[in-house]
Amino acid sequence: MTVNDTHLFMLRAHLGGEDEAVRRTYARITDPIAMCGLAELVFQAFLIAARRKFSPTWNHAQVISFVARLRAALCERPELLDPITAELELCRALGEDVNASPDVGATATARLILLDALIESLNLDDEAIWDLLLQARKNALRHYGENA
Amino acid sequence: MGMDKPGEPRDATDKGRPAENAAARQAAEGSTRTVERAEPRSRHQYAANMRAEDATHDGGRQPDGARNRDNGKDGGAALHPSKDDKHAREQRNSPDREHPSRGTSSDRRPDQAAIKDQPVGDSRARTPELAEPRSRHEYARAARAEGARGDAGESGDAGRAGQPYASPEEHKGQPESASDQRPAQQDRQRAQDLYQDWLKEQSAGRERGSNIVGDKPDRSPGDISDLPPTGEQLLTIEKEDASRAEKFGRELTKDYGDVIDTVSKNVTSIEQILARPQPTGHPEIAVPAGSQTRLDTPQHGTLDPSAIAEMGLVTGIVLFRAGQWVRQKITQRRGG
Amino acid sequence: MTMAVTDDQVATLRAQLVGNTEEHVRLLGRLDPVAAQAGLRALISAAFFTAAERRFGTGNSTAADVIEFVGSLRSRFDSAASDIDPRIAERLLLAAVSDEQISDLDPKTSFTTQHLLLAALVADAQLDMAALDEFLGQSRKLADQWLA
Repeated sequence: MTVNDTHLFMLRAHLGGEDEAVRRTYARITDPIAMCGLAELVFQAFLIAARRKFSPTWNHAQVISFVARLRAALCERPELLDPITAELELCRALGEDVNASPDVGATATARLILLDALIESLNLDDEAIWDLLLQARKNALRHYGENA
Repeated sequence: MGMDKPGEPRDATDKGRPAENAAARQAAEGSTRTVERAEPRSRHQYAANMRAEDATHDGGRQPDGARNRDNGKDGGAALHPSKDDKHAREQRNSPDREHPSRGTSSDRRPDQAAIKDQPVGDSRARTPELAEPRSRHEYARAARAEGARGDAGESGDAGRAGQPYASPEEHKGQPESASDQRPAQQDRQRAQDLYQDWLKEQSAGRERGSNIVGDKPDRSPGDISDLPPTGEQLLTIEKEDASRAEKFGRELTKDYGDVIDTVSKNVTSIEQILARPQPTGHPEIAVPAGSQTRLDTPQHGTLDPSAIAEMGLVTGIVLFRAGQWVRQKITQRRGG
Repeated sequence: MTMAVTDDQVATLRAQLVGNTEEHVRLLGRLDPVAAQAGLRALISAAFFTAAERRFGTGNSTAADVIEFVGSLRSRFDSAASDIDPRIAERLLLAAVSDEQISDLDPKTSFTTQHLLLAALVADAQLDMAALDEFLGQSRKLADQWLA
């Protein structure tokens, strides 16, 4: 698995509101395996953002409240973000030793949506977002190698 | 910033011209500090070359992290090549130093041991009569360790070689140096430039679409939900209320077990709810230091390939189908 | 024989909702288990519906308000987070004020969640004794309709 420039740019475009670019790139992808790197990039970015948001200490009430506010924003599509999975992923990202949800799809969705919310709440400027994504890619490549 | 190396001169400006000429010669011969190169020179020649090269470099960190920086504590330890040469001859003639490569810390001569024990910055450690306290191989090992530590990144792992970054532990509490910021800025700038090119490629041949309906694409012109109900609607509402109540009434037909037992088990929780405590009683948990980018919980570590593929697939689909909507809702909620 | 809510059942629930746990437990232990199986269950369920309708059925509340209410409740203490499934809680509240369906929910989980939500709704309403009696009277009337 690799995290390449396309993954990086897709995520950056999504965070920056360049949705047409995201859609066009995705529409050209024929191999679903090609998106694995994107999922890993999202995950690593989510880890960094979550720890930055909730540093130096956190508690379960904060996690529950954060997820509830996020789901309230998405209340028109309540099925999109599973609250239990979202809370679990946040707790895990913040160091709690709990098992992940067995629902892989819900987990991937939660990470992406939580990343959106965390980036928004951290109020990062363009440079800070780039730094976060570049660090996330670096972390992803370090742990999973550069080759599929 | 850098390692203090006893025996290393601190002030490059104190080097005499003969040392500079020596440095130029050595520069022409190439670096003597690569670990792969066989060492044809004696340890003293090597040390002398390094001291001389110091005189030709203008501060900053050398790629191998070998250089010590001037901390203003120079004790006037100007090199005297003539004395070095004399000492080098003595070293070569010493039976204990027949071959430089055999030097180890355990082979230190007594005077070197004394030097080693002297505090860093002590000018006595840098008198011209004394050679570097470590053997060439010890020095090379330290240089390699310096290079590996520089690639540690946030996780503290020894990463790929060639990155001039210090570990976060070394930088903890210390301000970032300019050299640390430059690579990150370059990386970022490069990424931004490539991203702009990529964006242009994606939008090539098409103009960005615009919403011609208005500023509220989610709201249909026929939407009258904000208007008060009519009389007929009120009757309908009353029927709907009854219908909603019936939903709960129908649930009573479903048997599940002992009601009193269930109510008994809820006593404590309801007591707490009725007390309406503020959410401050939760224990505070520290966020992990650094960025442990691998979660060591079993399920994460044992994701099978199909699960990884599914994650990628779902991520792409969500991004494609709902990404824009999600981001807009989050932004609206935050601003509202 | 038509079942109906009894005075003992109302008194048991009333004691609990005013915070008199000791009295509640005492009365609970004295209830006829057969009668309680229908009567107490209907009373609690009707009280939940009435409280939810009063809180969220005024036309000013949205699904987002429901989500935030449940999130706030679950963040109060750790056992609330684990005892209350947010999706089920939200669906029950929405079912009281919209066309949300609940027929697929597990009956025991549904009843337990309704009971916990009832306590939270009453606590938030901060009813005085007269208002509480009026509320319980209306709930009893609805429960009797269901049992008829």
